[in-house]
Amino acid sequence: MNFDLYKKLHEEGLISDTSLAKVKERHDHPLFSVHWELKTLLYLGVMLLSSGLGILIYKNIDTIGHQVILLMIALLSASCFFYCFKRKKTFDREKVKSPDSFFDYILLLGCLSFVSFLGYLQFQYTVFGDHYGLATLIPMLVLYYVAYQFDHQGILGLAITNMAIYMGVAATPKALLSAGTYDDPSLINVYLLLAIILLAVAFLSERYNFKKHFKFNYLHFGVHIGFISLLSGYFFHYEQPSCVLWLLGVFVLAYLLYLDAVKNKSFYFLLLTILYSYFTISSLVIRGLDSMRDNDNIIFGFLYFTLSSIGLVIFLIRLNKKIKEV
Amino acid sequence: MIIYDKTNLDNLIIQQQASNALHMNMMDNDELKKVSAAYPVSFYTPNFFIRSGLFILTCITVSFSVGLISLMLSNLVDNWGYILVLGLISYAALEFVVKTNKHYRSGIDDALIWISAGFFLSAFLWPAFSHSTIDDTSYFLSVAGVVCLLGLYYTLRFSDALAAAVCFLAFFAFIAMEWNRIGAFGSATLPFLLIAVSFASWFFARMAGKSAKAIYYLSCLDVVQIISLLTLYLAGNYFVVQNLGNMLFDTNEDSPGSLPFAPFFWIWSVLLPFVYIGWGLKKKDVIMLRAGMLLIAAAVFTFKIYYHVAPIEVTLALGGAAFLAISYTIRRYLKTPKHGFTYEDLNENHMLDKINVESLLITETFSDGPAPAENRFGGGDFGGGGSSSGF
Repeated sequence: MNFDLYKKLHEEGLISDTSLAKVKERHDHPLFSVHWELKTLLYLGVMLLSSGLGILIYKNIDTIGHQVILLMIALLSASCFFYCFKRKKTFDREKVKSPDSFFDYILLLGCLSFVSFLGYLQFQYTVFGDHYGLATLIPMLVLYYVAYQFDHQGILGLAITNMAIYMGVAATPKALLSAGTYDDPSLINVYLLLAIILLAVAFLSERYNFKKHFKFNYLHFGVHIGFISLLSGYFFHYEQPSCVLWLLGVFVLAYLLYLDAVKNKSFYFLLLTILYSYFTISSLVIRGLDSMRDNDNIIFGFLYFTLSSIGLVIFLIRLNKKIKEV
Repeated sequence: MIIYDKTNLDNLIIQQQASNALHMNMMDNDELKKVSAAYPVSFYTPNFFIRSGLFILTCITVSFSVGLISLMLSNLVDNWGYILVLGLISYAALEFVVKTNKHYRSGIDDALIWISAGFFLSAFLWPAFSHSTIDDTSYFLSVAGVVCLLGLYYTLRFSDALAAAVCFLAFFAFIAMEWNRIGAFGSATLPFLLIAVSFASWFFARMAGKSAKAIYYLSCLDVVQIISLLTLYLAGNYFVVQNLGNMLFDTNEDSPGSLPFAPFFWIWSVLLPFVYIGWGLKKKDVIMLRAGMLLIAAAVFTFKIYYHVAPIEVTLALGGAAFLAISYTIRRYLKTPKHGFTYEDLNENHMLDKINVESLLITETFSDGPAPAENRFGGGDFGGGGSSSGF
């Protein structure tokens, strides 16, 4: 911190006496924050412990030790939840600030060990019998409850991915792109349904002001899954007339998202809309050029990409200015 | 040397200081507005997402326009001079957007920095590569030398932190290869030389960062500090030294005591991260502290390679429990700030565009659901908790 700079700003009458006094106080008694170091330690601790326990169970299945391990995991989960319930704040529809990051990660550890516990019970003792739906429904409901009760966005994300698992699909964008299962029409429909549910919940959270800040998490998953499933649908039905419907879906989603992003000044969703739409339009242009059956179409293709990307650069810069001014 | 207008850079620093003060609750919004009005900045610096978008689009523009030009001039393409001309054109474009349009970290300039540097490097590699008399070592030496010089130029001209990192790594590789070339003595003393070079560059970067002349290059110097702290550790790490020795002398050693000066390298591998952390806490040096935390992991891995104390899952679980215990203790200890340390977040301005990055990170790492089941309700997966896949 450059104290002389603040003194200069004060002399120029830009900052008040009280502000300068605050800066001086901080300058004389500097504080060093280990906030992020502590958070990293917590994150790593939870990650290592839960994956260590996970492998431990897996390796000890069918041995005498597994009941001990099961008991340990149950105890771990119970004590985490005990700690969190003891210190929980009252529920509110608005954002509730958590007591501290230690609390957040203990809650996360409790949830993760609970999910492992249930999974293990089902595997070893088939407590839910053949009701596989139930075996994924219960963790999902618990995760949603915990996420809303304690206002924890990380656990909300886990609940959302668990909901996808309940529906029989994987949900994180990474898994979505690497799974490569776009060739299955029924899977595409499930993804589309999931995306519609997520987008609807995102909209409703904001509309009825119920945990409005959760909207981001719903929208994040909803947008990626929505665009990817619509585009997969388009490419799957490429040769059939019904592909137009999927394409229409892409543009409707892009338009709605664009309006929402401009309204909320969200550059992240704006960028997503633009990139997904650009991809769609470009694949349409390539399709058109492909059907020309002419030797010049390569030149036209290069020309299209050069000009369109320059145009998009200009558009993005203007849009950025427009959003900043509003 | 630096391309940016100095008044603008100075004002930018003032504005950043003021907004820091705002986020630390030492100033209010009106004051920040007054300061920003008195010290205006005319740079074009969009936020992170627009910057990434512009970066991607610039890469698309350049690759397709280069493709188009190459198609038209297909008989000229097979020549390094052509690549050099492309480099000069993109560099001219870079200077133009920075000087005329005042782009500063806008994504367009970032992309053009790497594209033009890539063209220059390829234009150099082309004749060097086709020159068959040159041996491998001289070839790699010349590549490292050119990368280092290019990186240095871009660092000084655009004060780009990534260019500084590339420049430093190329410099480091150059020194290592050159020293190794002098013969057996060089190979045997290589780790010590690299330790000395790393320490010297860390010391230089730290000292230079305190001088008023380096004010526009602080992020570059920070990057050099970080990398040289890491190379300082790695140059004396037992595993790295042993493997480097195996490579240079064509041996096949893998025992934990075969190296000459083995105790020295072991002490270095295990204790140096703690020295970093201790020093970082003592001097309140955040770079040192974080480098130390990162290198503890490296120390543990080095140890695990040679000594098998417990199976991996037990190590993971115990390590995790230890981390949680340590963070709990720190939190208890710092309940009220002590010795100038606090666990409160002093600067609460890291919410990127209202995005909770932490929550996304948690979702990505803790729910790595494997490929979805074939049919609906086909037995899914229990996600989370590292519960192993395929249940």
